[in-house]
Amino acid sequence: MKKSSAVVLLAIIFIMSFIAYAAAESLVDEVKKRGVVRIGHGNATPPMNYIDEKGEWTGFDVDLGQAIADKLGVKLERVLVDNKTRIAFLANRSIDISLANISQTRSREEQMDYAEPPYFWTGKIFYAKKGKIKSIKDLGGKKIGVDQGSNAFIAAPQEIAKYTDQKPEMLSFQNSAEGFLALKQGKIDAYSQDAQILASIAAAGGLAEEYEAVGGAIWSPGLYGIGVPEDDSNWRDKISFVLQDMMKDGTYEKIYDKWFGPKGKSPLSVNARPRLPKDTFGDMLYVWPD
Amino acid sequence: MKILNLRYEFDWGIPFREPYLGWLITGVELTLLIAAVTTVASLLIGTALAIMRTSRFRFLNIPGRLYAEIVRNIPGLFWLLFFYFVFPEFLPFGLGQKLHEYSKYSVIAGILGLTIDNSVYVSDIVRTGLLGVPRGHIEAAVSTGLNRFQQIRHIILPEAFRSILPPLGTRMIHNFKNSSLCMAITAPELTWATQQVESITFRGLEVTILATVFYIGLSLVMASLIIRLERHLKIDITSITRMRA
Repeated sequence: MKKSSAVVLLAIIFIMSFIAYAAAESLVDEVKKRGVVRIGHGNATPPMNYIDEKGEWTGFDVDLGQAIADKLGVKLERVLVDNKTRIAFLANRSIDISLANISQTRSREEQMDYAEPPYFWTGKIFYAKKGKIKSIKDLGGKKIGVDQGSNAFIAAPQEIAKYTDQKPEMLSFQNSAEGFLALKQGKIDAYSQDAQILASIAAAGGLAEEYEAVGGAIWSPGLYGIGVPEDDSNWRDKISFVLQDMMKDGTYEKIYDKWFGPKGKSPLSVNARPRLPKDTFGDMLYVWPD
Repeated sequence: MKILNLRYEFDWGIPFREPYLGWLITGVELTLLIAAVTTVASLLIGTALAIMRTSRFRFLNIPGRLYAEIVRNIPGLFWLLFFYFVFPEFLPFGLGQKLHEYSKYSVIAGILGLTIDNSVYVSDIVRTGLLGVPRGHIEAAVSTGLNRFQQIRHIILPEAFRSILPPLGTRMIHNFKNSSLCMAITAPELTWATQQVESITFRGLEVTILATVFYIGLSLVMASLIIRLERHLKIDITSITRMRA
């Protein structure tokens, strides 16, 4: 027998399982057959989708999702997504609809489709302690926080570069509550997120009076789209029509009022409903004619 | 038969495009830094803690045991969040505010959290090593006139570390992988970078595979270094039996 000498064999086995998809069948038929629609919501972004003090999953997106399921006449299965998974889950078909404060962007458009029209019109502001930062120019060289998964991580420095050569330092947090805490603690000088989300978080902490939008304005529009999987135009149309029907029959308005009306849970001074331009169309809704 | 039905088209250009490449490189550097500092720091603290916990003196072993019980029963991620968000609030003289505003504090908080967490596990391992040193060896050390410190320095610790090298190495590899927890507190280490690339491009598989290969590769390098060290430190048993004879 030969003398033993140690031989170390290292084998690395990657097992990647990919779910095989059945031949292309529209979700319109699949959801009907299944009797369940799977809608993805976040749970850390008040007032759109969050867990309230009673521990219930609630928010504007969540109510809208329930209304969509009711209109489709199927059961609702809520699936938890976050800023990083809300688009990926659509792409791998784990969910049928993603309703999680998704602003429509061109790069997202490559991975998903949106129902028409965008269901909530808002935009990104830089939120900072009152009087601390006068204009976007003053954000050069400052520390700015965003949620990880927000397109502001790249868009904010580009916006600031229009006014100053000094680059901001970007930090990304796991959710908006942590980002706002960091703003409160002075870890960041400004926090960029959609206006109504910041207003809601600040109001919950009784701090709305102490903060303001830098320059008092939105710097990037955030038109929230109902996300649907790419390349399923029947399903996309179906959801678009459901949304437009809800706008016509008052369901949308009721939910909007519950959240953003004067007596709502998170009153908004601006009109975030999808409306056609008032100067041309008066009070016409943004829906397609028959 | 088709086993894998890939809907994902790989684009291996993504990890090598700016700014993604920059994020990944910074991520690797930071991961290595965090792993190196926490390994050394937790080894030192863990050893001190083990000596405290095995000490005859109550003023040493009670605080040591208390520390171990508290830290061991709290998840590691908690310590990172604690040091990042909460700890500065307790500091006096505006020092906390300075830490909040210091932009690299996330890395420091991560290192503190991981060190606190890992040091307890290290101390457990070192403690078994200390307890495993044969009574006779210590008595021999005493009879040659070594004082307590000299006994620990020259006899107990060297013997203990020889025997605990394998579990200690495994623990340090575990600690290295735990560095990925730092992504929760904005530290731009490797896992943060992969998540960031994924969230911007929606194409995370390429960078995730690269990061996986990096984690596995470095773990294997660490493991092989430990095996080498083990062999290097091994006392040749035949020389001892010859001496006895």
